[in-house]
This record gives sequence, structure tokens and C-alpha cells, in this order.
Amino acid sequence: MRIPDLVRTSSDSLRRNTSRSFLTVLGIVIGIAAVIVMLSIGQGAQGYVLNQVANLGSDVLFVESGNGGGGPPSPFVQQTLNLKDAAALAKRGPFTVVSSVVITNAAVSAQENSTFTDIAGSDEFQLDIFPAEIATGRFIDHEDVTSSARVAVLGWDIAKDLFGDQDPIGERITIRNLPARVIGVVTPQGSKFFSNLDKRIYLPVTTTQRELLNVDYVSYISMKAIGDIEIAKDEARAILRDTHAIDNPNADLAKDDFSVSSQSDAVNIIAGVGFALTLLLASIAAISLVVGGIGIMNMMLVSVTERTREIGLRKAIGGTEQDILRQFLLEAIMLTIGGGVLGITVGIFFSFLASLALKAFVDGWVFVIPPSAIISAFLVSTVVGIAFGYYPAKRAAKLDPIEALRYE
Amino acid sequence: MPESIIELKNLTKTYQNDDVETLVLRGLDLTIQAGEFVALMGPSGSGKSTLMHILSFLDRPTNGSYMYRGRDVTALTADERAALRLSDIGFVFQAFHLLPKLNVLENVMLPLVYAGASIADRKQRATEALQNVGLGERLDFLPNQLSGGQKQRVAIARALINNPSVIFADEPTGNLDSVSSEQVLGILSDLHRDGKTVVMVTHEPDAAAHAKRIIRMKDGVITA
Repeated sequence: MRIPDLVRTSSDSLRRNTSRSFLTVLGIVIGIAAVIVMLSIGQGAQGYVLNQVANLGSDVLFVESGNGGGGPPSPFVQQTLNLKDAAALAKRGPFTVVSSVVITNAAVSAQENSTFTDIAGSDEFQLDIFPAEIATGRFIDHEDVTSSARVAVLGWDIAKDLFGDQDPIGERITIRNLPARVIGVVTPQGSKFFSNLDKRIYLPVTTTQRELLNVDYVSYISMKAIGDIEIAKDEARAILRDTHAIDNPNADLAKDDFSVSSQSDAVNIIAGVGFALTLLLASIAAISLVVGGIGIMNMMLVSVTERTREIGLRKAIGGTEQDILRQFLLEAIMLTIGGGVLGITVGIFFSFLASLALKAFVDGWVFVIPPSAIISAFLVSTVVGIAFGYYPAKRAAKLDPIEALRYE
Repeated sequence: MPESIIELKNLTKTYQNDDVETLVLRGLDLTIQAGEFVALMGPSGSGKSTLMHILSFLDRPTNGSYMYRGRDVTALTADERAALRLSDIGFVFQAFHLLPKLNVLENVMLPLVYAGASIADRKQRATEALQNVGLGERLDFLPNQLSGGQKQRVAIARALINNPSVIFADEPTGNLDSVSSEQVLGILSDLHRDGKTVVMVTHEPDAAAHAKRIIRMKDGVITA
């Protein structure tokens, strides 16, 4: 039989059983749609996370307490870093900028407005690491830090929340019980490291330590390295082992009470997690596709049995085993590809809905449909059709025409 | 001198069921000339259906030889037999065997699909074939909208579409009333008159009377 006739024969017989064909491929549709949704959300999440750490420059290093490696600062780790460490790093290390930050959160009020927000106790170098423009006023300077001045710089959104359209410069705000004068507003920066920088209030690091938290630690130290980043990491570790009096000549990272990581370390970790996640989702999807494929096989076997007489007739009038095999195999493949296309459509639709929902909660979420997902969905549904359609088609092809014609 | 189209020598057929061997055809010798109208008669179990299946390349003999148009076709492969059925054989079945979801025209065109004819050619030939059996007005009817006699005429049109040399009719009137039976037998007689070889399996003497020669079988042998 010629290819166009084969296609017409197979598609006609599927069309004559539209509702059954649809129900048969429902498993494939759901499987493929699930793959698309999972990959879309997975890629969206990975893109979002990478976006949170990216663009700080490959020369930026972070030092955190605990030897746990990358990720955002954890509140459950013994805080071991302080301003002396930062000073030592600035003095002895190959760094152009060393910036210390202590992170907390607090109730903030100004005039009649009050809210609860992130507080970043920063030094004057903070904006050299996290580049941002000053919208009005000025940022914290060296004098503010040394004198523990009660001054505050507002993120763009928190300035709007507290003061509306009014100019906040010179106004008083109260952080917990600490009064402070607003000296500046930072232009919008969006979300980095999973916190919205525009909701943040910057105080001098010393003011935050002494007057707000009564501690002497810093949450993390960030710096810009000169020269090779790996050498800079090792030098930073050596300096901190010295200031922390850790005897660690073999540079065993597990003995340290701090960790040094670069932006690319964080990116690699996230990429690794993303790959593992994709693998996990793919295996779940594979199971659902196998289940869907078994549904196809089941239905094709029923169809072959029902159409025994048709097969007998086709063979009697000259159809070869190849003709019959191809007809039924093509039916299965068309079913699964149709299911694949439908699944891709449904998947894109639900991915879009999911991204709308996520955007409402997560700043900076982007809707992505990876083209590779669509291509692999196509390939997989074809392969499922061949794999699960072959046995029923072979059975049809092997039917004895005499027996088949007599079948009741 | 007429050419012999079918020549059987000492043809046997056994069926193997587990350990039991059943001898269905016990050494047949038979010659059918081109253009003959032959009726195969015999009680059920006589082997006439098996013989017809072998003659029409649906089945293979166990032993002996089958020469079709001077060619030894005893040991053809399944594909070779399918090709011969497509080019040389037309089938008319007792149960019509029309595909219920294809319309009359599509049913008749079906062999041409396997033959690889163009769509225009298929339509034209199938329409002509249906006109020849008096159904030119019902091309887009579905089989279940037709009477038994009409169905069998569609089946005859389908059997003729590839211009076969031999028509095999397996109890063609078994499911028909007497008027339709006469119509169908009339068409088969016309085909014979036009030079086709017609082999009809039947157990109805009235039907067999239309044939020019009656071959009677019993217990796997030809008795007359």
C-alpha cells in the first residue's frame, strides 16, 4: 500500500471512532501535559533562582558562617563572622572591596504608617557589591559606620510604603524602638538572593549590631577579588583561619567555621539541583507515559480483535502482512502523536496558568516553555506509539485470513 | 484447445491439531480450463472449502502440486500468495465481508488501494464496476443501508475491480432470498460468458445448475 493511502486508511479508522480514540490517548495527553508543565515550572524555577544570584560579577566572593557551602545565609548556624574578620580581609587579602552586612527584620513606623520589613546593617561598600543607584539623598558613609549614626537609607518600595509620594529625606522613622533619620532612597533593584531589595532598609552595620540586635557578628561578608578567584578564595580562608585561630594546615574545609564561595559556585549548585530535579520529573513522566502506552496497547488489541474480519478481508483481497502491520502500527503512532500534540497544548496552557499564579507570589518569575520539552514530547509520543503499537499490529498482521474471515 | 488454468496433481492437505493429524484432502487430481464455470459441491466436511482456499491462494497444500497457469504455486510465500490474490483472484463470500464503515464506492475501491492505483483511476473503475452490477446510484450508501442482494452485488463489483482471471464464490447465495440469488447467479453466468473462470462452492443444487460443470466431493476426494 502506498504511504498516502496508508495514512488515509489509518486516520479514517481513527476518525470513525473519535471518542474512543480520544479516551485511549487520554493517558498520553495527561502524561505529556504533565511533562510540559513540570519542565516549564522546573526551568522557570531554575531561571528564577539563577537570576537571583547572577549578574553580581564573577569576581564576587561571599563568606558565611558555618562550613556548609553555598545558598542563602541560614539563621540556624552559629554566627562566627564579625567586623574584625572583614577588616583583616580588607587589609591582608587581594580584595578591592570588602563589605559586611548583618541582616535582620523589624517593625518599622513612620508618621502614621507602619510595616514589618528587612533590615540590612551595611557599611559604605554595600552598593559596590550590589550595584544600585541612589535616587535621592546619599548612602551610608564611613562616618556613619564609625559613629554608629542613627541614619537610614530606604529601598524604593519601602519608601513608598512609609511616605507615599512625600519626600522622605530628613524624616524620622522608628525601627523597633530605635529612631533614625532618613538620609537616602535607593532606586528599584528588584529581587536578589530571594529577598526583595526594594523593601529593605539600610542602617549602618554598627548601629544595627549595637542598638538594634546587641550582637557583634555580621551575617555575611562579600568582597570583590583581584586576580584568580580560586587563589583569592584560598587567601580569604587562610586569613580567616588566622583570625579565628583555627589550626588547619591541610586546608580541610570541614574544620572551618566559615565558608567562602563564589557566584559561580552558587550557580553550579543550583544548576546541579536543577538537573537532578529535571531527572526526577522526567522519570515520573516516563512512568505516566508507560502507563499511557499500556492503555494504547490494550485498546489496539481490542481494536484488532474487533476488526478481525476486516483484517481477513484485507488480506484476502491482496493486503500483505506488511500492509496490515503498517496500518495498525500507524494507527497507534497517530494516536500517540495526536495525544502528544494535545498534551503539549494542554501542558502549555496549564504552564501558563501556573506561571500566572506564581508571578503573583514570586517577584521576577518568568514563563518559559523549553523548546527541548516540546521536541522530546513529540519524540517520546512517537516512540510510545511504536513500542506499544507494534505487538497488536504484529498480531493483526499474523492473523490467518481464513480464520479471520470466519471470525464471528 | 482451451488453456488449463488450474492443474492439481495428487494434492493433499492435512491439519495438525496438537498430536492429531486430520487428512482433509486425500490426493486430488483436478484440471480447470480457463473460462470454465465450475461448481464445487459436497456435504460439510467434504473438503470443498479447504480446496477452494488452496485454489485461491488463501492456503497452501501439504503435498502434491498445484500449477496455476503453468506456474508451480505449491510453495509460494505468504507475500507471493497475497500478490497473486491481488492480481488474479476475485472473492465473493457468503457473508459479503463488506467493511461496514466504508461506503459502497470505498468498499469496491479497496483492492485498488492495495494495487496502488491513482485515486482518480480508482473512483472511475469502481464507479463503472458498480454501474455494471446495477448499483451506480448508491455509491455513497453504507453497507447496512443495502439489502442482502445489493450487498452481494457490491461484493461482486469489488471482486471484479482488479480484472481477475478467476472468481471464487464461496456459497454466494447462502444468505440471499431466491430473487436475489437468481440475480447474483445471473451475474456470475454473465462473467463466465465474458470469459472469466468462475469457481463456486455451493451445496444448493439450484445454484450449481448454473455452472457448466459440477465437481462433487466427499471425505476429501473428488467423487464426480
